[in-house]
Amino acid sequence: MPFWKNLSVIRKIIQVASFLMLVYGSVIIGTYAADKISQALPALSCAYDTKTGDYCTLIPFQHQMDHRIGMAIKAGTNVMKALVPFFVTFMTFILMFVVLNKAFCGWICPLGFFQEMLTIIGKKIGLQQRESLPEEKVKKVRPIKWAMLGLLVFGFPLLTGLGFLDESGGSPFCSICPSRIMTTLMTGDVSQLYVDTSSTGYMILSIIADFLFGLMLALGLTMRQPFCRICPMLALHAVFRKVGLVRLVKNAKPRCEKCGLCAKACPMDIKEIHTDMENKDVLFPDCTLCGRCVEFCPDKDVLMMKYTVFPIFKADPAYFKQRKKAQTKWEKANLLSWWKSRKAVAASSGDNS
Amino acid sequence: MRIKIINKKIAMLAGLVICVSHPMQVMAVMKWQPAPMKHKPGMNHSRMAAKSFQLTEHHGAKVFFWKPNLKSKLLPLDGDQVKVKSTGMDNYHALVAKRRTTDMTEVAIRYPYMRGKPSGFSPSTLTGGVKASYEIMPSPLPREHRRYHAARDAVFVVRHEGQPVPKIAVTLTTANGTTLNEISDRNGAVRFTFPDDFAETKPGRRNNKPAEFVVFSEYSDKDHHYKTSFSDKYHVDPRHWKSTQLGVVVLAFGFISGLVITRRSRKNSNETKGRKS
Repeated sequence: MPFWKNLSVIRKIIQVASFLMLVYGSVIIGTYAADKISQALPALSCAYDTKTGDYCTLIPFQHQMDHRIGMAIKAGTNVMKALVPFFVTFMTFILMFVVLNKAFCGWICPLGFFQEMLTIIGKKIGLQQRESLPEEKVKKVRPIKWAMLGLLVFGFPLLTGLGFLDESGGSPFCSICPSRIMTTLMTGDVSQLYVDTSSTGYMILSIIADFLFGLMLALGLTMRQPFCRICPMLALHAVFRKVGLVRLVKNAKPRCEKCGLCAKACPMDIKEIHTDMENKDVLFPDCTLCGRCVEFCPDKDVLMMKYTVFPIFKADPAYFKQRKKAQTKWEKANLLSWWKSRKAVAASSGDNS
Repeated sequence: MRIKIINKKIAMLAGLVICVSHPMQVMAVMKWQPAPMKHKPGMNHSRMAAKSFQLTEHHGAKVFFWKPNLKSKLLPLDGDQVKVKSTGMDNYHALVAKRRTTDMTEVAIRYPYMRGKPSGFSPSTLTGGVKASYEIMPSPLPREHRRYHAARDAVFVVRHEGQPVPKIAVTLTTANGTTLNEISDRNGAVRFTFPDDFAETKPGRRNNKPAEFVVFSEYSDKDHHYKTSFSDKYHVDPRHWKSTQLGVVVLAFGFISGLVITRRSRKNSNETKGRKS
């Protein structure tokens, strides 16, 4: 299969370009550009990375809940005035989000791409991969992202502004975000990998951050998108997914009940994409719009990605065959199988001699 | 051309002699520093409020306030102080003090961070714009989530009429009593590592007051002498309470935990598969 026809390869190219832009972008566009572009990107690109090209909307949201809204309520001053910057950030986020919808996760986010790279490394080393998580585990994990969004992005910062928590509660999601550690390490800066002993709150948060990052590194080698499943950005996207212009549509056919290849291909283990036979709109809260379900759907036009009403990528039996072949070939090529075949060749040549 | 080179060498030597043998003289130059606070300590101070700065050696100096779009206005000095209000345009502004006599020009620059809305002008436009005949340009100014910190590097470029001045002596003096000397490279740039010279440090950034630093340089060209200073504050090195070594240990613990979880879940799924078959 030629690479320019393979959606996963096209996505990887876009992910690499986004990664370079979001992790090292200021080298090209100027040191201060990140402070100017949007400051409300719907992807986990970190402001602590001094070379970033733009940064994530969760940072201003936390700051505004703490410094503006919380403090204004506490001081009894005009809360509406404090809400203005919040709405500016929110509207900037919405304007960007509408264009790509949840594809910001699957196509743009540097942390999402980093986790995909971990899985590729795991595969290429020859580590046994977990195809999908059991349904009961997926169901247990899913609510965590809502708690992360509600508590760490909005709740704790607001309580900090109101004076109920100490300053460590001001931006708690940033304090535990693996993207902060990953993006800064990628630029050779180790200053964000630390245990902060200045207060109990900061110490707990910094330990969680380092532990979570280590956990993500290990899990990512054998499991797809471990952090994405609990990411508050995924939850924020889920709230506004109906206003996005990119859609995922299903025209269910009776054959769908027996197939289930789409659910197997899904890196977020969304079983509903297979089992839902009624809804046309199958853009579920956990979807990252990576398009793998469409790629691995063997029936014509059953699944499709649309931009407003225009189909941009449709399930196709011919594409499916080629894609499956390419996938099998890709998965077979790893260090372990290469090593085994080398040993087998050496053994057989030893026997012959 | 030759005279110019000789002049530059003389300037370089003079600068070196001044900063090596008379470090206290550097402190007597015209420079900006925050004005002493008038409100009681602990009082809630708005981040949007006007800021006051004090100009040392201020006699005969004129003060200009530069907006990010490089438009400037004359500010009246109230004694040795000026008060600057946010223009609502971007964050960094420039406070430039100039004093000129027949044979000498003195300049003091500071870039106050005044909170405003994005206007499309980059701080590099402000720092890069020619605001004085001889000036020290921070390259770059700290951006969002960054500050000048002890034990971290900072680069400054010395410029005369907008052109970088190579091989000139530059001095960095801190309020904590450290003096560092460097010579600018061929691009007029000097790199200083801020000294970790805070006598007492407490855990947590907000528990430590920043200290002032001044970058100073002087230069002679065609019988005219130039002195310039750039001042700002620098903070305590956060590594006093943030340990990277411990961070690596916790990360390794997380990684090992991840491997254990992977191994266990694989074992469980193999057992389940075995029972099913």
